[in-house]
Amino acid sequence: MAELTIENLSFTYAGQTQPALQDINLSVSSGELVLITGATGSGKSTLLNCIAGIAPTYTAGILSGDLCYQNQSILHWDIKARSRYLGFLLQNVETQIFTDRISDEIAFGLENLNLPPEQIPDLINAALSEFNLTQQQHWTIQQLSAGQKQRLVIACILAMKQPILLMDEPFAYLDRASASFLLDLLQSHAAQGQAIVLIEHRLDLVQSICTQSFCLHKGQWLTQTPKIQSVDRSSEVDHSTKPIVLQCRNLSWGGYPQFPDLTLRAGETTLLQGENGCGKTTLLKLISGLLRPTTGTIELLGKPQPRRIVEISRAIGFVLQNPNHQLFAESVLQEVQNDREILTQLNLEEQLERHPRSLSQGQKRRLTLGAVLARRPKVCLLDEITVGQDATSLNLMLELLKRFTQAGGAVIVTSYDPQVANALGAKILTL
Amino acid sequence: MFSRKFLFSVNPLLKIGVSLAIVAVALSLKTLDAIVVLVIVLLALLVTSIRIPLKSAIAVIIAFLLFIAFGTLTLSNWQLALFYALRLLALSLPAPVFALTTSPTDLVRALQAIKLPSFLVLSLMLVWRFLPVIQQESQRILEANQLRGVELSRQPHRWFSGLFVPLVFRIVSYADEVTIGLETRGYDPSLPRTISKPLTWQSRDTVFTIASWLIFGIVAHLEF
Repeated sequence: MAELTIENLSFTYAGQTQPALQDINLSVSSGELVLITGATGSGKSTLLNCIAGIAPTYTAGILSGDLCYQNQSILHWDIKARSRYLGFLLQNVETQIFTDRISDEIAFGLENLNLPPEQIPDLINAALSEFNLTQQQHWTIQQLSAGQKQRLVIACILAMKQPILLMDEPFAYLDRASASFLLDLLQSHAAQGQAIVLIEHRLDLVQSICTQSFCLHKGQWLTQTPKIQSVDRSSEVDHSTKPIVLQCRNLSWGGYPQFPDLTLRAGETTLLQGENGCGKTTLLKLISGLLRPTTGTIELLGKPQPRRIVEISRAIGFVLQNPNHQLFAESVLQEVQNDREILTQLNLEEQLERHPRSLSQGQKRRLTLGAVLARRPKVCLLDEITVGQDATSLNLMLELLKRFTQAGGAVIVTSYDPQVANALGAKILTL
Repeated sequence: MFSRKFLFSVNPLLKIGVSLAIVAVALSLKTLDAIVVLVIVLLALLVTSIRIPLKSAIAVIIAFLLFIAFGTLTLSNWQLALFYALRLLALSLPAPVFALTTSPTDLVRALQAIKLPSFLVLSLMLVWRFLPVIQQESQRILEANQLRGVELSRQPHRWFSGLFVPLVFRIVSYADEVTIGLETRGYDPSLPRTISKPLTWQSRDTVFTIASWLIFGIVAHLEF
């Protein structure tokens, strides 16, 4: 018997005429691992939101069709009722964290299920050891990196053992080792009978373990999954004669071990690699001036790094992980200082009059890159370039970055996707 | 002896009770000596329990001195001005000392233990999460402005577009995001929840109660 059945599901956002989802049918049985792919804005997250009950309760719109759990319609159940049977990992896991300690966070979900109190410590210990978090169980959640938070919320949701799991980009912030660990874990949970539906852009990782894979295009299933667009490999260029734009020596901050020295020349790209929580974002914050190093020196364009962030920002642009903090203008065109060429390169020319906040997450991410490069920095820092990006969208960003480096700009990027290093011809610096 | 964690592990209900008692005592005190002792104890608790950023501490000290100066000018009595300034501190300090040393989970457990209606527990929990989130969001937005070359502290005309608009967007979406987050984690205020770590009276609660009575005793002795 199918755990989850979707019949002719359609959803149209309030104020729009074009449906975001149209006549979607899907059946997921116990033990199955279903992958949903598609370009950014194709309706993947909308579909999971409809299954979980978020749409139309919190996302206004018209929903039609039917949703069944074990052949019983759940269409009129609210999110809370559905959450007894559906575990849902949201794209932004920070909104699913409610306590300040790791073990408390795992307990929170189990307490919500009203399990007998004597069972809870054992379940917490099992989740902690399954995720190798036993040593960190008393850490405060503030101490965790984005990837570690992702792992924690996955641990919390898996501990609740609902029969169906919905996961929106569970691999987004995970390093290679954590990703391969999660792959094994999902397979074993599927083998134990859970039905898993996941959205993921890192297809190279997940395709091998999925029992079914579907591709959404403009709210409808594509009959044939398109071949994954691979990222072009860039030709190697010798940068050794170019001027040095950035040099970091003996840098350290907080409890991190000393960062390796970094020398960046004009036209060069460096990819920062390392496990979750190793300090990649921290190093970018030190270079951009958001943090002051405890020890060590940073030289920018041959001079000591200025003290004020606004002065540093004349030479360094920083694309943050969350684009919502970086969009300030009234329209997409204003955001890139009326540079239409950048919008064309990022395939955003059709959105130029729209308010930046009305764009999809993937489009916002591209726009923040455009906004940063429109200021013509000498160095562009990019934190987690691949998060929320399908192959097409990622390619657009990589192309723009390549043009930026060809024009003499330098780039430091963090990503777990090895294709990024290839595409940008990047030097790899392991932390 | 006084560990940074001591106040964090004291029963939240006890902390609420003592905070209310401090407010009542601060309102009834009339002598300078008594209120000085009360404020010193509160400041000691604040400094030993919470890491306070230097900038905030300086800002509070400056505001405190300005308050005394203004009071002295209007009342022509510096002692009375000092007394009112200290009373203001005694009234305003218990809330942050309590709030910053109580985790959201402990608060929920405490409120559940006194059988507070579930909709109130939910509302308080969201408010508890709201303040630090908004502070964090404001910080990130200020930093994002600086990264774009905009120093908001020197360009007040950009506060609206640079800070208020993005912050209002975040506040408006916060309510929905957090409610969705709570509901997808299975939180239902209308259903019973397990209390996996029930609130029990610990020896540190006894120490805290005795210490509180002792301090109230000293304050009362100075007052009368």
